[in-house]
Formats: sequence, structure tokens, C-alpha cells
Amino acid sequence: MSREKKFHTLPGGEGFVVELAKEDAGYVVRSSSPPFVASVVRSSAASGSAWSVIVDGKSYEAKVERDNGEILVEVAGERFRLGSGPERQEGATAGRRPGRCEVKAPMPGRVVKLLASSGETVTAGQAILLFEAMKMQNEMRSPQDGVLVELAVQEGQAIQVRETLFIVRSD
Amino acid sequence: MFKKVLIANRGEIAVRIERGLRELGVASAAVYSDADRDSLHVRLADEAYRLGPAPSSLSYLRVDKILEAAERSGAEAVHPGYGFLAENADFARACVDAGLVFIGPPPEAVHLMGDKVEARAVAERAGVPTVPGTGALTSVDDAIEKAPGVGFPLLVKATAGGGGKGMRQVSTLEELSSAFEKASSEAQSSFSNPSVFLEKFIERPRHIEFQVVADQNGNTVHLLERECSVQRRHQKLIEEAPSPFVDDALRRRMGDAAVAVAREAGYVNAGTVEFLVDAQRNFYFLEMNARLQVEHPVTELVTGWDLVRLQLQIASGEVLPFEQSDIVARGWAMEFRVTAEDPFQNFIPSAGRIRFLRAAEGPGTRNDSGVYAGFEVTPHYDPLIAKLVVAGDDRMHCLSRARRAVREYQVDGIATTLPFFARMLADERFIAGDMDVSFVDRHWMSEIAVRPSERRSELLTVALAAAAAEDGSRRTTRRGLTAKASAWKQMGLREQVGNRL
Repeated sequence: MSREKKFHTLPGGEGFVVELAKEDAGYVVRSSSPPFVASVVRSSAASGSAWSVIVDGKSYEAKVERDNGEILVEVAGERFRLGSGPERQEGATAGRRPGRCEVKAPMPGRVVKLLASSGETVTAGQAILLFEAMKMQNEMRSPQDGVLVELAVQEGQAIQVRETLFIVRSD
Repeated sequence: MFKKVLIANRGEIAVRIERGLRELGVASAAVYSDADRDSLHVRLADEAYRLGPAPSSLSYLRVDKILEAAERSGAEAVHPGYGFLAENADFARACVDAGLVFIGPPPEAVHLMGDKVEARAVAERAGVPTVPGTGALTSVDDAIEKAPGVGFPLLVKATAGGGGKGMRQVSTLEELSSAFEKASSEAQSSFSNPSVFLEKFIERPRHIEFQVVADQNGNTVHLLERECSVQRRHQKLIEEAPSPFVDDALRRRMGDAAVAVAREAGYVNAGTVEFLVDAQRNFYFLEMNARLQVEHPVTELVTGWDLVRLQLQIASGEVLPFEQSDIVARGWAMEFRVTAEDPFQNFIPSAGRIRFLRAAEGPGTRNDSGVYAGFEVTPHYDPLIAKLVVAGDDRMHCLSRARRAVREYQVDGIATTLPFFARMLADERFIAGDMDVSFVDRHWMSEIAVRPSERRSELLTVALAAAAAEDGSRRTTRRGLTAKASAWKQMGLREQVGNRL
């Protein structure tokens, strides 16, 4: 029994369809475009997702992680970002709508200082706040020109990963 | 030699020191925070004592708790490792006052070298060139007044600084006050000392440092240089010995200068004299690190001398077992800092559980690690998890061994710097030894990280196959793996980060 899996590359949106079949030791993945047959097994049943992949007699190791609907694959120093499904869907990226951009904390930390205020007109690259994580301070910058419609945090506030820091809306 | 030594540190360096102790038949007493109860350094030690909660201010920086542990254990000496209290003169003094041997320089030398302004004065007295700069500044206005005299671009640096913390580069007078405040506030939070000074920024220098060792009988010897120019925002990523840039004449001059600085400071034990070297081979004293360095293994592999062993021998009163003329480089060594940081996202730290780990092994390969599969990397401490060190007959041999070792090394569950090393080891400029301290900042994110691989279509096939299998396994074990699967970017969800800061 085999199942069809659809992926597309991010960014770019090249679509691929592969056939996945379960076998005793792991999986067989087949594709007609590009044409390949791969044997794929997890490094050990109990631990993690370091995968061994053999394609056409060549042996590789791949690391696979999911991030917010995306699949990240690392192989031989290369990182691929894949989405599920045949092609990129509009508005698929979390928190981003046309004209509105939500900036979230990349990791847990603390807001050291606010460098702009709510309602202010800001430019792309402008520092909005000073964020400290792992003892290093970094400026969190506006990704686009627009209006700082929401500054969701206060100075001194402890921040969890992915917590919204601020929202910039372009006109 | 001591019978028991307390290690006031954690992670890979605590493990490294435990190894040195065990090889000398000395018992080791580890200390740990609640976040580190299950750490390798606790498991491998002969004894272990709890310090307190996870934040370092409540554990590894608590002098009173560490001295209490030393007393309970009956240790005769304390090894501070690097970071935390290693360069804290008050801690060194407190150890001595408690009747403990501090395995490092005397408190006076720690104090002298810990203060960047004092250290510059020491170098000047030793006749060693320093980068033009100011003394400690009293205010932003003081900085604005003195900056034109130093000239732009310049660096605002913490007087108590190290590791790039409390440091900012400034190109124009307009940027100065904001940089001053950031550096000062970072210096306050990292070193509990907001004092900063200005230093001329040398364009594209190399970072070359000399390892020195000095015994209590006044013998001071250097153990050659290490080149540490592959760094990102002043955090070293790759170090090597010897330096591909240093010839015999320069090595002699810089080595003499390093020894002169150590002597002038009244230095005892192992330390490192750091220099900036410009394209014309002018060198400037940067600072002296009064401790064992992260990158000490490259010196060990090239000179054959075990630095932790030497530190313990020196601290227990033994005389250096060699003279300067005995120190020769044999082959080449490189260290790669495997840190929990994502090189494709500008080195954002990545915390989480290590689900799979296979370190590189084999000829000429050393792995100094503080972690194991199943270990939880928390955002409380430095992201360094292991150091891959390789040695070869010459630089090319060392590079090919490094490529082989990096390919073998697999860490899953967190992002690491390993893909960065894979790409650097394929970069023509790095292969040619043509780098400076700005190399990574100038070329990584904008160029090397995004350079399309010649193997892209081949590797994409592998990625699709792996993604499909992972997707398939995910559905069949929905309640197990899926629930636990943490993405590289979803760091430390479980952590109560507020505690740490």
C-alpha cells in the first residue's frame, strides 16, 4: 500500500509528488519527476529523526524538523524548506497578511527598551525595540515601511518564544 | 599534587577539567544548578553539589554557594574553567581567603587583566604596542568629547568585557550615544560593571593569540599562537594553530611580546595574550585572558602539552617541565565550536532536546562535549555544546580531515553550527587561509549561506524522500512523536525564561 505525498519548495514553489510505501525496515519513496527511488530509515526507532537515505546506491543522512507547517530538511550542509501540498498557497505564512506584518520573538528573552511608540510611522529596518536573549542584546527591526499599529510588549517584560512583539501595517 | 579539586563551572569545560583531574588521580567535585542536575559534568564527577536554581546569578555566579560546596567537599583547590567567575578577581581572592588554591593567576593579576584599561597600561609598560584608545569613560558626553581624538570607526568596549559582550562598533559621531548606552547596559547585565571605553577600530584585522604558561618560580613560556579570525560578532567559531599568516619572524616577535606582557602582569598559570594583526603584519595587544581558553585544545594537539594538567601542576607548585626552545609545532589543528545556534538564521540560539547525537570519531579527531542524546539544551547558559577538534600533518591534511569529521557529526533536535562549518570548509578563501575578523559578518548571511549548492538537485531528492518518510511516520505515531516534535525555531517552550534574566 502506498500513499501520495505532495511537497513544494519554499520559497519558489516548485511542486513535487512522491509515493510513500512502508516496508519492514522503514520506507520506500518513489517519484517520477524527478525520477528516483529512495530507501529511507530512521537512525534508531527510539531516538529522533536523523534519517538514513539511500538513493541509487548513494548514502546520505538527513535531519528533518517541522516548523509551523513547514518542513526543514538538512542534508550535507544544505537546508531545504518544504511545504506540504503541491504549491505555495497565498497567505500561508503565519502572521503575515498583505500590508500587515506581525513580528514575533525568535526565542525566549526580555524586552530591554522600546525604541518607538505605538501609532508612529516607521521605515523598513528601523529599530523598534531592544531585545535581550542569551545575554546578547539585539534590535528588533520593522520588516517594512508603515505604521506601528501595535506595540504588544513593555520594557522589562519577559517574552516567550513566538510571542507577538509588534505589528506594522503598510498602507 | 592536590587530592581533590572543586570545579566551579559546567558543560564541556567542566568535563574537560574532570578528565584532567582523573588522569592525575585527583578527585573531582562538580557543582550544578537545578537545570544541570542531569548534565554530563555531574555524571562524570566523583562528587557533585547543588548550587541553586537555573539562572546563573542564583547558581554558577554565587560565590558563597561555591565556597560552601568547596568546604563540604573538602577540596583543596578550585578550578574556575572559563566564563562565569573565571576572571572575577573577588572570587579568586575569596578562594584564597578561604584557604583554597585558585587554579589560575593570583587575584592581583586577575584584577589587572580583567580591567581592559589597566591591561593596556601593562602592555605599554612591557613595551608592547596597543590599539589607540581612551581610558574608562565617565559619561556619554565624555565619550563624545574624546571620540574624535581616537578617530572613526571605533569600538565602544566594556572595561570588564570579554566574548564580544558590552561591545559596539561606531562609524559616526551620531551613532555614539546609542552605542554607548547599549554597550554600557550590556556590560552592566553581563559583568555587573557598566564602565566602557573607546578604542580605534583596526580595519579587517586578524585575531591571533598566544598561549602562555608561567610557573610560581618565575618561568614564563609561550606555547605558540592560535588564529581565531573566523568569528561572528566577536564570538569565535573556528580556531586553528599555527596561524596560516604568521611566519617565523613574526612568531618570534609576537611570542616575545606575549611573554613580556605576562611577566609585567606578574602572571602565573595558563593565560592567553590576544593581538589584532593588520595586513602589514603590525600587531597590537588586545587583551589578556586570565584563564583557560575555550580553544585550548588546538594548542594541546599542536604542541603535545596538556594544558589542564599543566595548570594543576603549576597550581600545586611544580616547575614547568619545559623551556621555550622545547616548544615546537607538530602539524596543524583546528577547532570547530558546535553551538546550539542556527547559522541559516543569523545564528539565533536554539534550545531543545538533543534527540540524536553522533559525534565524529576516527583518526586525528577529538570531541570535547558536555552533552549526550536526550540532553535538554536550555536557554539559561552559553550555547556551546561541544568542540570538534581535528589535527593533521599540515593545513591541507587538517582541512580534509575536518571535512570528513563534520560530515560524520550529527546532532538532531536542535539547530547547530555544523552546516556553517561544512560550507566554510568548501570556501576558497578559508581554504587559502585568507580571512580576517569581519569575514563571517561580511560573507556568511549575504553570500556563503545562500550560495546555491552544485549538488542542489541531487540533495533535493534526498530531502523529499526524508520529508515524505517523516510525514508518514508522523501519522502512524501521532500520539508519540508528533506531540513531542519540537521545531528548531520553537526554542525552549518549556523554559521559564523570565527566571533567567
